[in-house]
Amino acid sequence: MKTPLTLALATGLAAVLLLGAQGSLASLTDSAAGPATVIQSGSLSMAVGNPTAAVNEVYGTAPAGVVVRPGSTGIIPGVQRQSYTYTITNTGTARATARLSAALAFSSPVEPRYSALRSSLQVSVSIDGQPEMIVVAAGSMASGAATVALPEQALVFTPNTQHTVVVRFSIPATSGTAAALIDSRSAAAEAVALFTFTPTFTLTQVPVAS
Amino acid sequence: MTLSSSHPADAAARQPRWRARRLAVAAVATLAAALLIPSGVTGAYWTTAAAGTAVTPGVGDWCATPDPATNPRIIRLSDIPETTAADGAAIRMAIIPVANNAAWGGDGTTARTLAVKLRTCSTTIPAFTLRITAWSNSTANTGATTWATGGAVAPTSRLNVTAGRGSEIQKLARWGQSTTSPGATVSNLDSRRFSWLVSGPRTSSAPTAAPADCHNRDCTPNFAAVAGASAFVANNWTATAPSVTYSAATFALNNPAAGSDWGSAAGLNANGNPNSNSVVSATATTMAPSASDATALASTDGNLMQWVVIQWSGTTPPSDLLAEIVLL
Repeated sequence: MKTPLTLALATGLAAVLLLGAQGSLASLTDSAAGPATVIQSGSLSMAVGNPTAAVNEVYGTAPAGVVVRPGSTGIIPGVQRQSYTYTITNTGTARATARLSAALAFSSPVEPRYSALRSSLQVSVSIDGQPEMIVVAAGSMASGAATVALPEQALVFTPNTQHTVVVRFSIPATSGTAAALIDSRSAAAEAVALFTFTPTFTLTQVPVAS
Repeated sequence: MTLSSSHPADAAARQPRWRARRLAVAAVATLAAALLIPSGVTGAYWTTAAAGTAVTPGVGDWCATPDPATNPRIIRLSDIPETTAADGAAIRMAIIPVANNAAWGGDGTTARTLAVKLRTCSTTIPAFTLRITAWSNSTANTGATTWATGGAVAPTSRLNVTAGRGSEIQKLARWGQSTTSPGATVSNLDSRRFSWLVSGPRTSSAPTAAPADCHNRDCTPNFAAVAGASAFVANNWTATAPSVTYSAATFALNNPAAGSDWGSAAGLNANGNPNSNSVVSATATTMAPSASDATALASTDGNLMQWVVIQWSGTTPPSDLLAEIVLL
């Protein structure tokens, strides 16, 4: 009488282990719970190009009482922002479509005097020219080193297609912002670094229906 | 049903039920194993990650002045209206009542020093002159209080410069005396009412300078106007903050605890005997907390109430030349 029980346990465990394990190349069956998927041989990989920087991107007019230093690069409240464009390519095999997510890491301020300015910073992301997503709203950035998650996006990255991810840093201009932050300005023609920003991009395969 | 029976026939009848139970246990065990195995083992997708090159966003350089529309303690010089005085002169003057009260940011307990902060983002300052002085109330009748704006000891209030008390203070600020024509000798009574902010020897590089020492109450107010380019710090894109603060100072003794009064013979801040020939030293114009506008407006010792007079003449200053009255 022990044989059927042992056989049943072994069979069940074998079925579990065969369920879609990455290294097993086993096919999923349609008996699994949730969306049916098919595991096939292949790979998923990505290439991230060096970013191109726009260090003095003018996007607003100076409000009354605010004067921009001629030729200044860097972030200026309500007037000028900095953008970094990363080119991301899904270099996986055919049918290995994927979606993008990211972890955006910010180091501590380079100088303490930038802490007030840092808290006023807004960080946004735009993929392939789509509307900006604010990932760090003004007033919500951590004062020290921190990582902010960009959740998985709906846009599908098909293999061997370049996509652009633009990360923008700006300070929204509200009344008095530029005057309140006057002691945090660079006081130099060239922008002065606030912190180091390091993005880590992740591609996650889109499950293939069976 | 109980399991106490041991009859062989009963045991035979229980066999199918035991088999069913064992199969059920196996199914549950399998399900438990499936739930306990990490999802990564069963995840039906691939992931790949790569770090982008690190960058260093940076801050740029700008200049900004506060908005007078949101801070009434700030006066835009170019906003001061032109008025024709009784002597026919066209003057640009604002007379502002200042007390250490809630309207001016006082906490009700701490004495503060009267001061004015000049700011601009202009890289060049046009040719104009500026004079900012402060005057206490007179012990004599000063006439009716006629307001041009407001009606309280508050940043938005301005005194009518050609009527009653405003006319008197206007003359004080222009000539140093209030009852006669220009050029008359300044009386001790009036000079004891005087505090300087931006006048006489003061410049942005010497914001605490005082007029020459005086003796035996012979202290003529030095209320000479200062060139705008000397009073303001022009924006040269190198200063950390393009502004300069001038604290009010006076030769008068404003210490009610000592029984003195600016209108009294012992009102000067002389070292030693104030009525002797001792050198008179400048002291900061401090203001005691004031809880009542009526009390402040009626006071004459200068501790509760100062009229700050801002006057400019010459080329109209740019709109971002600002004077902010502050209590330090």
